[in-house]
Amino acid sequence: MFFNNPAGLWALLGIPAILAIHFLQRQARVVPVSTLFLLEKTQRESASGRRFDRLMNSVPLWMQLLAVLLLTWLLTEPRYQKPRSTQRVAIVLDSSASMSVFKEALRQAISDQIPPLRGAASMLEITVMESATGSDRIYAGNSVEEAVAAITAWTPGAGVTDPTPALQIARSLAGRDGAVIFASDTPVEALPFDASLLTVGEPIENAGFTGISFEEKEGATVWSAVICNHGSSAAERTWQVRYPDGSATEPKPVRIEAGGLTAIQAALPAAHDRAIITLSADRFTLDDILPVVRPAPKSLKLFSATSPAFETLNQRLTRSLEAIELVDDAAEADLALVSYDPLDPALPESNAIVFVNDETRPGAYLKGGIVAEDHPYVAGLNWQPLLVRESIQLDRQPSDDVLLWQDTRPLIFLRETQIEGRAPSRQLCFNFDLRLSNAATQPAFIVCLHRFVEDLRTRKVAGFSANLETSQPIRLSATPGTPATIVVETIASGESLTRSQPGATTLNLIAPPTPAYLSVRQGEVDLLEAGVFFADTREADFKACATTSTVGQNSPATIERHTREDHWWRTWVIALLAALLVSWFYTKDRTIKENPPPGLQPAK
Amino acid sequence: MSFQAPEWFLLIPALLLLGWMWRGLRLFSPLRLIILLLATVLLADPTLVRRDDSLDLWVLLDRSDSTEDLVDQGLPEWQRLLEKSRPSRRDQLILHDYAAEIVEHGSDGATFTGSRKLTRTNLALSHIAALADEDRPSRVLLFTDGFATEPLTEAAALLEKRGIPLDFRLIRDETLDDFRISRIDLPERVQAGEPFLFSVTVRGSIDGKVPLSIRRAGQKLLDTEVELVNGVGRAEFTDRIPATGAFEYEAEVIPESDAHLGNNRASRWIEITGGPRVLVVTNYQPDPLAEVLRSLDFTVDVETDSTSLLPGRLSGCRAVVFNNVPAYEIPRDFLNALDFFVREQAGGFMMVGGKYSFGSGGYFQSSIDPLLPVSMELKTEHRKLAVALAIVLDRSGSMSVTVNAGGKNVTKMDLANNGAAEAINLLGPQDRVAVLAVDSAPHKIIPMTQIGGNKNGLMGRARKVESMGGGIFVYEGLKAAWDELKKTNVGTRHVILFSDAADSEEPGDYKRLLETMQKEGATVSVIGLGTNKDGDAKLLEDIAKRGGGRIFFSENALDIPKIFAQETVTIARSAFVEEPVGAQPTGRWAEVSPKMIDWLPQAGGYNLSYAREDATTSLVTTDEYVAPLVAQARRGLGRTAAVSFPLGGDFSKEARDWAGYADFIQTLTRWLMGLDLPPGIGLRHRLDGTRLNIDLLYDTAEWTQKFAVAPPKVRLLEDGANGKAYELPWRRIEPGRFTLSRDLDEGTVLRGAVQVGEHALPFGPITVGASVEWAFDPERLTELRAITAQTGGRELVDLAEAWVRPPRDHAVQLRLWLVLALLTLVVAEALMTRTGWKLPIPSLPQSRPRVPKPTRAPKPAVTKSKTPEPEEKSAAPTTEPSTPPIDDTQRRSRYQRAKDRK
Repeated sequence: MFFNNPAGLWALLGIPAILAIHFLQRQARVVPVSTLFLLEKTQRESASGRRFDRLMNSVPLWMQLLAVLLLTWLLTEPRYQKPRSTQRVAIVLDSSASMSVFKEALRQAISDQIPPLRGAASMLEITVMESATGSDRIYAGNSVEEAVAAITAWTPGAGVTDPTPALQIARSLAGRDGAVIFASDTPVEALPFDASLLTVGEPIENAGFTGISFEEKEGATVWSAVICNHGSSAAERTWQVRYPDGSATEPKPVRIEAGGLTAIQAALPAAHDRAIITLSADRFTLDDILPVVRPAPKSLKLFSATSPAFETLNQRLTRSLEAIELVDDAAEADLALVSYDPLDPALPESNAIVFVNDETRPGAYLKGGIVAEDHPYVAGLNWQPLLVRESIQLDRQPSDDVLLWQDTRPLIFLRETQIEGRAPSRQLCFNFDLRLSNAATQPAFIVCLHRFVEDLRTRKVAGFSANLETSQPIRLSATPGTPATIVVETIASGESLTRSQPGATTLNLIAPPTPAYLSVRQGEVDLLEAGVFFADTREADFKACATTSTVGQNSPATIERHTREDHWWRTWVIALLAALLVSWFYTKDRTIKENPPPGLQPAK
Repeated sequence: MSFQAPEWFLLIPALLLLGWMWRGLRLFSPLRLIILLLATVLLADPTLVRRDDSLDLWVLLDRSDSTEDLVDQGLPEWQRLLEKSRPSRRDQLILHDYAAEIVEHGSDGATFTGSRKLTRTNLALSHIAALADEDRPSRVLLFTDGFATEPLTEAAALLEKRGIPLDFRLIRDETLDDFRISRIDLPERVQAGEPFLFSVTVRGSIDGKVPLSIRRAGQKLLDTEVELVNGVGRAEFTDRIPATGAFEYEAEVIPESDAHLGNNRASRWIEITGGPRVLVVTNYQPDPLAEVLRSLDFTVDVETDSTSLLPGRLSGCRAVVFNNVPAYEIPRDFLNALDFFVREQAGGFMMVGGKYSFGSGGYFQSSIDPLLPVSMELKTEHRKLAVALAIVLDRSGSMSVTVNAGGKNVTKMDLANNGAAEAINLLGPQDRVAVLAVDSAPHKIIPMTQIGGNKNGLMGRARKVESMGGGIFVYEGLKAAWDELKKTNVGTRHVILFSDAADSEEPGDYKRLLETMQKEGATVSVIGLGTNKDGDAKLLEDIAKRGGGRIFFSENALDIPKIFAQETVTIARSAFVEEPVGAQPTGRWAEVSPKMIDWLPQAGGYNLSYAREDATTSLVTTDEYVAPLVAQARRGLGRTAAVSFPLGGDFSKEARDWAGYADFIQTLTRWLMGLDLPPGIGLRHRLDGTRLNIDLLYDTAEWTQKFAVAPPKVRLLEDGANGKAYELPWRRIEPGRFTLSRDLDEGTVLRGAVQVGEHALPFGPITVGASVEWAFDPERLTELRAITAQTGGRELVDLAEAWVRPPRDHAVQLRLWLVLALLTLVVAEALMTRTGWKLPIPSLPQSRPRVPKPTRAPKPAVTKSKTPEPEEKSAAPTTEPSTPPIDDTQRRSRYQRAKDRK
């Protein structure tokens, strides 16, 4: 039962008031009587002598007290809990990694602030979810203890996320009258969907790695890691490198000024392809560990079959492309550079970049506007400075996808061929003689070539090593039908987890949420060898963290929804009337006794 | 059934061996044997895999505008069929309605009351994924037309992860003869002068030719026809725009008959980029300032028709200069857009002096007032001429309409009253004011009164005008105002007429009246509530023109008090000083340029203003005001400057003769344009239905360290969001890439800026289609089919098949049951052992009674008892109690068992 108007209890002050009134002594009056038999009554009334005893016999007093009680009851507007009424509470937890520091505070805050939200309802329906989209629900049920246990087991590891989509789902789960709470460590100005804010953070000092880069120096791979001090005072830390064989370097001190950056670097020994760079730990440990692997990009084998006239262009192209291996056998090449000779018009069936080789006299410059189609290879590129002379043209097929036009003439088109039993191939065809144009000096031309080559590289099923960020989406080209084995070695716990994923043309994976080594193997091919590190520096900066709460009590509308009013209120009013009537009845009786009929007037 | 630890079965042979070796254990007695076996099975921890035999069927009903009627018509039948085919009571049918939001069906005992403008299928599916019980198999059945207004990928992943198949049933009204613009394909950004391809896809239910109209920036480009084959037609065009900025393309189909007119039009913006550009808005032809900038190789975009300015013009622009252009000529949208342009998009803004600039130009309390480094309100002690102002307020019936003003509902009349009060507030003690309220007759609220020390009292009276119904009789109002003004003999006499542009009646002989007023030196300005396209707008424009004043139109009632204030400052506190004034440098020009400048000795005239606290003044007047002539300030990421003396036209001779004129202009303009963006960073944005996706791509070698110290921010401004910019968090995807998504309301026009340190990458305007719900994008249907297959669902034709339980098994632990069985058996065994009761084991037919061994105590031979023959007995019962005779064989048996126990 709930009182909609607890202030009505002040009406109880009427009780002492009534009592006080009844304690009032009537002024004594001398009543001479002529006969003694009337003394009997007088004696009885004053026999006890105590006022309280006198009150005990007063019917009106009791009736008035009853009336006060009934009025108090009506004033407080009692409401009764509806059976099976449920108050819905949806809690959206900030998935960001910085929350890992304040999990205990969060647990405590949830334990303290959620139970009162039940308010007038008979039970709570709690849903706990993450702010990161696509995350599983953390808890759904009726128990605060279980919700707290689920939150305790939860591990936040994402970067900064926009809670809006999660809050929207939370609001639709909680309904109009339910409570939606966003639990975070950093206060925000305003939350959408009428959500309340519960922040449990505090500013802490933190320094950590922000990223790593590699370069080749004198035959050695040298890594360079940047440490940032996100705190408000200078930080003194030590760092060291551990290798897979258990060896480690001596801890070296490093001092980083407040808000400053410091780079550390060392060579990765030739004997090791992996290393773990660690910084002496602080409260936020995710950015204190940097597992790295020796980067090795996916290599493309290039076969050049252009005429000698294209030699210079070939060399420039080859130099501008990374991780290219020149081969002499067209059969083993991933990509061929081909010049189209009208006397030998056959083009390779493999992936290729095709140029027109026109040995005839140069023609006039082509006229008309250059218009690019909507295609990723040419999107956003400026082709307007391109000047092209008339030349012989490639034999274009209807299925070719034109990427660039000049007036009605296709300048660049893409050919995709699928031969039974072989992987599909792509050919980027330049339908003009490059030597008779200024294409080689145009950034758009170079970028277009790079996009094509990188696309081929992505599609190639081969292994590579890279250093990735936590929770980074990974797309790997793979062989369909062969299951892939994924191994995650978490650095902090030392645990190794192996799982299998069905083979497909593309494997879509997500990097682990904490620093780890990740390897993906399919059959005999090591598709990926990766070090995964945390790099979202926004999460490492705790300066704006604070503890606040706007979680309020239930609104009157919520109380009304979960309770029903007192159906007996009319009965109480009738009882009140009855009590008053009885009270008055006895009061009237006494008055009559006090004013006897004229025949009984005392003698003077 | 499976066993978690089958190795425990090895215990069985060990136990058997034990029983064989120690026969006294009697392990081979049936009960004990069963107990041992059960204990062993218990140790092996058996688990039974059972298929779930119930289902939660979540039915989602698409209640958007495009399907509402169809759902209403079909729902009773669908519900009946689904209830009828429900396999058991354990199966639950749960219905939800959804469109732009999702609610439980009929939970409030009412139909769907949410917004039906969008079909947010992704949200609805995500909601179900969050709601579904993890311990029960679930299935989603979607009744929809298949055209969601948002991508479904996130929800599909959630459903797949949870093992919830998605079925759908398409509900369409196939009889509709609807034609629509399905999409406009246009590059987001091209270079100035670069030809680009754009295409318009038209869909319709009937094949044939449909008229198509294409417009650019409101101007018709062409009328053509598009042919629909199999319901689809595509028209392709090329265009080339030499000017930089953002331009809106609009396509419209005009079929003869059409079921839904709402989806006949669509628009998209394209951004034409070029080098750093300066937009000069001016009335000078040619503008000397623009000429100077051009001569110094600036890309200058000069606009002499300031009324045509649109916010899109700011795209690709680095600085804007207002060169003596009055505020009332500049569209309010453009003025409002400048604040975001400067503060968030790191743009520059400069106002140059003249009779139509600053306070004289009506910029006081305009949206660019806070941007300027100077304050335009003239101090009372600096005023030299008194003003008589008559304010005529429309108090007709239309003024009683309530509008939302910052969360509070107020009437238009209240806002007009506030405007009048604001005007009185800006007048000085020597000024005079009259306020008249007009409906069918004028009513004197305040007769012509000198302000004196009674400003607050007069303001209070002005705030008490109430709307009384009827229309406004313009002539009566003007005449009454003139009658009041005639009573005064001050230098400036002015009328502000506030009227409803759609309801201004009885102009009477207003022309003659205005002519008389003009002759007597009185002017009239008009504030029209509405647009210049409203019915009586022409009349109001004519009144302002003949009255020698200004005309303002505003649909936004909240602008009214500001316009009153601007107009009052323009007439009462216009402070363009027309006498030459000496100029004195302050030595703070170094903030703009380290190179010192040889300042002009005097200016031909100037706008009297006051430097703001956060501004830097480089040049001041030498008169008693010491007013700023050149001042600059930083606003957000951007920069603003105020040059109070004219740089062109009247009073500019001194400036134009100044040797440092060109150097001053180019130095200040370069400062306004800000820093160049370092290389290695780029922005990509696209709209997917109503969802905006933005990618920030950067070179990790160049930017990683910078972002470690100052992460990038994105600030967005939606038109109609009360001008409040907001920030969204980036999601870090991989090295070199941040991304974010935002669901927008349809019809939203959005501008934004990615801020990286002191730099900004501006983008927009981006428009969300105005009829997304009616776009019927077939890609959405394809996507729905794809995710249905991805989750293991199907397109449902027969609703009786809706209750197919997804293959969902759950493990059942048998441990508890085994322990219970063991308990029972152990108790039974103990009881039997105590009582000596034996299991009645049926003997085999061939078995013979065992002969007792001779070595043991002689046992009587067990004789096969004969089946007793039924005897004939007398019916009379015996009175003596009879005891059944104890068979000697039984006695013998008990004795033998007791002996055996020994």
